Amino acid sequence: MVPEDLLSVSILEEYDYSLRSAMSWLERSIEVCDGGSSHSFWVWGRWSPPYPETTGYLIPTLLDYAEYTSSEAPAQAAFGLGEWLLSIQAEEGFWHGLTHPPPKPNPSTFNTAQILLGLCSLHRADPDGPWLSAAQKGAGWLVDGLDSEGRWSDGNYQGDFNPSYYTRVAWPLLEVWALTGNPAVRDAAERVLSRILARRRDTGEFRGWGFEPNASAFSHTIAYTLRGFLESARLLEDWSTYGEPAEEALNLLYRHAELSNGTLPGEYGEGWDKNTDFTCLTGNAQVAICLLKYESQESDLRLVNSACKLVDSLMDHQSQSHPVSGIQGAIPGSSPLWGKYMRFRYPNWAAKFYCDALLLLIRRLRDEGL
Amino acid sequence: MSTPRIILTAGFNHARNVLAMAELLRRRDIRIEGLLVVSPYSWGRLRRYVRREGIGAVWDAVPRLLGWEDSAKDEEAPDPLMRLYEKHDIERQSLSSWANSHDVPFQSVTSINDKEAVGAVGAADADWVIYGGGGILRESFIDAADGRILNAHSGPLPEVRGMNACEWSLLLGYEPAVTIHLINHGIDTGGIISEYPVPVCEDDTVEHLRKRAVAIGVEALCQAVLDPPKQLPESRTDAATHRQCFVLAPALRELLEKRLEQGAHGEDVRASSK
Repeated sequence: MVPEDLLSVSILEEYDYSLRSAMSWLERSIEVCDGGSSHSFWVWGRWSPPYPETTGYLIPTLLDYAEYTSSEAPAQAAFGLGEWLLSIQAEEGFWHGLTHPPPKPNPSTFNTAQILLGLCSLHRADPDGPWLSAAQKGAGWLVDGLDSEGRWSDGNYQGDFNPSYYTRVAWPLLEVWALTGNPAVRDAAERVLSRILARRRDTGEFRGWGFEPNASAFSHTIAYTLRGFLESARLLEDWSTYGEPAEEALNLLYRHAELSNGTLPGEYGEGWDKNTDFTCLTGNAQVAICLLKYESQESDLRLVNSACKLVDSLMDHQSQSHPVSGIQGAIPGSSPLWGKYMRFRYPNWAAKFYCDALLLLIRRLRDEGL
Repeated sequence: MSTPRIILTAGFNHARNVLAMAELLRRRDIRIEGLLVVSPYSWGRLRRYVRREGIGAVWDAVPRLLGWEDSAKDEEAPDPLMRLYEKHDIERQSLSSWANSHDVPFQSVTSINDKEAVGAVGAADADWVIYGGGGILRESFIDAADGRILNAHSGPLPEVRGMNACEWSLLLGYEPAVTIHLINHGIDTGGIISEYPVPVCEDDTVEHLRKRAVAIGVEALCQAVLDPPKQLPESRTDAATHRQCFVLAPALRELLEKRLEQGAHGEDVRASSK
């Protein structure tokens, strides 16, 4: 017989259990490394080496969770990650792509920018620390490499292809600008955003928002692109220029999230052509975040409803009692597990975005009085 | 003026709202040209239902589908539709049995958009098709009815369009209402005929409020047939600017139940734009 108290668990308690389980997995992803957070856990039982990029943006999640639980340990973990990132920062200010140590030198534009997000949040928590100075150095390297058209010729994932999800490079630059007031950094971010805005199609899509030019895009990189716009609009206090162009895509993803009961197509081709062979769980968590961020502009509980469905569906893919510690609490990259995105892996950023979505959602529902 | 002739649709054979409408209209000498009832027992329909509502909802729906619902089980909050039955002394029975007793053509179809259903609507050339359920109407059905399909929507239009409109009215801060409107090719974007408020009472649950809206919708649809608009209202061109509503996620349902418990639903309510 099921105990009565289990039957009466509220939805917020369910979200809280699930959040704690995913955060425990993230803590394990840090413990298994000598520094940083492991890139992912392979389904056949191996943790990957640490991944500087996602280690960087894991920091704000840990700080947020420390506040949510009123506990010190997640904050200490965040500072530990920050120290490790500083220890591997190149003299010129950048970080290398791929896992650490990098197989060969590859200064990375996108990965460097993601690490800035972590350093900026550490600075807000500890203004006397070395964080902002390291972030400025990283931002300086990014600004120096940017041309007048808002493009980087080096440091890209694919040759000279500057994807539209570089809005998520503009956003960290604007975070640095917000803390330093450096106009060159803001100017660089605006150049990047302007170039990407010019890629907007009438359908609300942005050309080149996938990993490769003229190819389908995972919901993961689509959400990267939209989040970059949303956060840039917030920091620049300019919704009409940077937020509104993303609205059509957000409204379409809202509808798709509802109609699919929280299981978005894993990728989209041109004209929102759906690939439903798999769902990109990482992207679903990110889209939930985007919808909640959009809702803070719109104040419309319908958007919260769709975020709930995405999160509920993700929760169904999390095993909170799996005997393998690398799987317990983790979120797979795709469903089915052999889906195209992060095949057979549990990436640390899937858990990170899932936790971010839950933290936002729990707060939003509490604000409504739940 | 000649007696209006109508066709009624239903989502299943024990749809009590449709039975009440059919009986009330028959008593007012309205000619019922046909009952189009969609069989709920098809894999396609079941799959769509589970996808939209979740597997738990299927189990909950079984008593309703089989006509086993017991109005006495919740004596503190009697079912508003059953009160309507008592008020008008309507006998509870299946639609097929009612149609048989009153010599009304009864047609069971696997989908409301089937050729048979569309053909029946086109051939009948009725004054009105009253939508009492059966799934989303496709273009062929709407065109066959020549745009004269009446629906009772459980929310104020154009603001609250889509699913779970009664619940969404409360969550979005609108006064709950039933809107009688024409079905067109959009989602609840057809011309609006009339609007009826749905009172929210102390100790209301979401389920009870829904049932009250259904009961109000039955009488409102009958009224629309008995006292039809002189001209068909135009479609609302502004309707699509209002975000479509979908089935409530468990968290939002819990939030609404909590607000109803606390009587906090009525704070800062908005009237619809009509």
